[in-house]
Amino acid sequence: MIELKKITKTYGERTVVNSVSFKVEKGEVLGFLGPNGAGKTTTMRIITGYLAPSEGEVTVNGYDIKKDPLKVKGAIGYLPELAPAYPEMTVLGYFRFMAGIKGLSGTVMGAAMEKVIQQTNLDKVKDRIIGNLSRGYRQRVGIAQALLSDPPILILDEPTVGLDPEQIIEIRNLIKELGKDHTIILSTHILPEVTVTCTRVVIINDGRLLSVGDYNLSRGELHGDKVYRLVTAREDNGIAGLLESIPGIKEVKKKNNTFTIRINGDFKNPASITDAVFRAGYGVAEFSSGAVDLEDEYIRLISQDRGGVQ
Amino acid sequence: MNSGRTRAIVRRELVSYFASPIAYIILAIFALMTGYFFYVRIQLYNFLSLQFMKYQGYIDKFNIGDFIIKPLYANLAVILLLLLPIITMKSYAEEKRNGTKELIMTSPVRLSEIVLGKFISACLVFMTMLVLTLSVPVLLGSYTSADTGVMITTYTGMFLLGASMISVGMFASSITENQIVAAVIAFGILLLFWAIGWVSHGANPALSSFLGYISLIDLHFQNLLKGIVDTRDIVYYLSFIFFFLFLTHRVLESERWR
Repeated sequence: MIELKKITKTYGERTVVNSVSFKVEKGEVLGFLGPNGAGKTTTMRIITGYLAPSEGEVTVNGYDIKKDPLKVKGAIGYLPELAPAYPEMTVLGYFRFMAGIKGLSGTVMGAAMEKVIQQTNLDKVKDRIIGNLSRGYRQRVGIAQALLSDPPILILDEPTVGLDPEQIIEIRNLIKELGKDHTIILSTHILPEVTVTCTRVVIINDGRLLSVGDYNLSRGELHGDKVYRLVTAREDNGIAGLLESIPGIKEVKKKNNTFTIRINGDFKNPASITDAVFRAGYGVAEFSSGAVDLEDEYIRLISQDRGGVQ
Repeated sequence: MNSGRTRAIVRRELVSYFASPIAYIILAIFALMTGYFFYVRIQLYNFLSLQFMKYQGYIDKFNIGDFIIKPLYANLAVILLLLLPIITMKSYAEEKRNGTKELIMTSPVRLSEIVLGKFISACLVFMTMLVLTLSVPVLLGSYTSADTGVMITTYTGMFLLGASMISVGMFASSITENQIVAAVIAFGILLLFWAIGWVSHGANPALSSFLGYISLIDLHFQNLLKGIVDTRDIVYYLSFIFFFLFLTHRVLESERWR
């Protein structure tokens, strides 16, 4: 659906994005992770055609952004960073304008506006001036605007930044809901957001790609490995050793009586782990799959990368 | 070119012009200045008409066109030079500052549609300004023997001149995100194109006729005020407008590469 091939963007001497390549398949919700200033926004601006890459190619929905910019732009709904909007316009007036430049008109426009207002729950404020709206509403107006032409792809640059916890949950639920029938790229530097909303993750630092899409968060996979979480009833130093001795287990991380276990993707019988712990008399309080510790992985990759740079 | 998308841009621009007090203030100032200049010219004309009684030989040189219409609209042209950059200064600068430029540039709309849409809407605001001055030809037409043809060419000239100034203002606004800077740059460029005609006397003849030709107000506008329709003048204004809109388009396009 979206493919980036060796995208590089330089500003004079400074390289902001350095040979970044990745693919997003239809129906995926891709989390685009990285510290502030890592090049996330620039990459998104290149995908949406706002900036031209210095080198490399972007294909969206089968169209090359250089050859068919309008086709690409038509397929993407974009929420830029900080959700810019015209402060002097009413919400409805703004939607009418955005729908107009997206090529909608007449009854189709009316229906599309009605639909996004329902989806984003903006009915209460639709006649108000955007400049007077709260941050949360403005963010929702930004997302609604992206949905207007019912594009197959959504690109959301930090959709929850500056919101209060309740609003964050609301927006996340909305994104999850949209993820059912849209391909989404979502940039953020907030890790839990990715764990909650995304099916896959790309990590970027200093303009370079550190890790591509190998985190299938919904299936709890990390680079093709399965990850489980085990909480034992008793704390004991022998448990880690016992777990490591089970064939197929690659890595065990201990934190008090909680263990993060990484197992080969083809490992068939996870119950054998709990059996072994149980038989040794430690007691199992909790055992769950899908416990990819993204935070851990993220910090490891970023600090490794920084170390590599120095 | 898709007219629906251009229309959407024109409509939004007009809404935003009239949502802020700036358009009303400009309209009011322009109407006030027109009325004032008109009054002053009429007074002067009255006074001079008594003087001219004594010199019957010159009476054919004493007419409404030369003594009211020409000076009045030449004055208004200078007022436009001061007011139109205020109208156009926000066109692109504000979108850059607000970040909304990113929205329109990532919408499936051609850059030429954006440039044209913004130009057309500023021209519509300007036409509203011109409509407010129509009391002048109406009064002159009902009480004097003013030539209707001259009035028509005068308004054609005013429109072309104003549209040219708007195209300069659009360009100035596209190169900065600061509205004040945009207005000042537009003033600068317009003053230069106005004053460039002044040096045309005396310099070497080829150069002076060239400078006279590219001057925005001098030659071309004077012709139209006199009621002379010369295609060269029309072509001059149209190519002037096209040139600055083209520059605007190039500036915006080049920002993708920066």
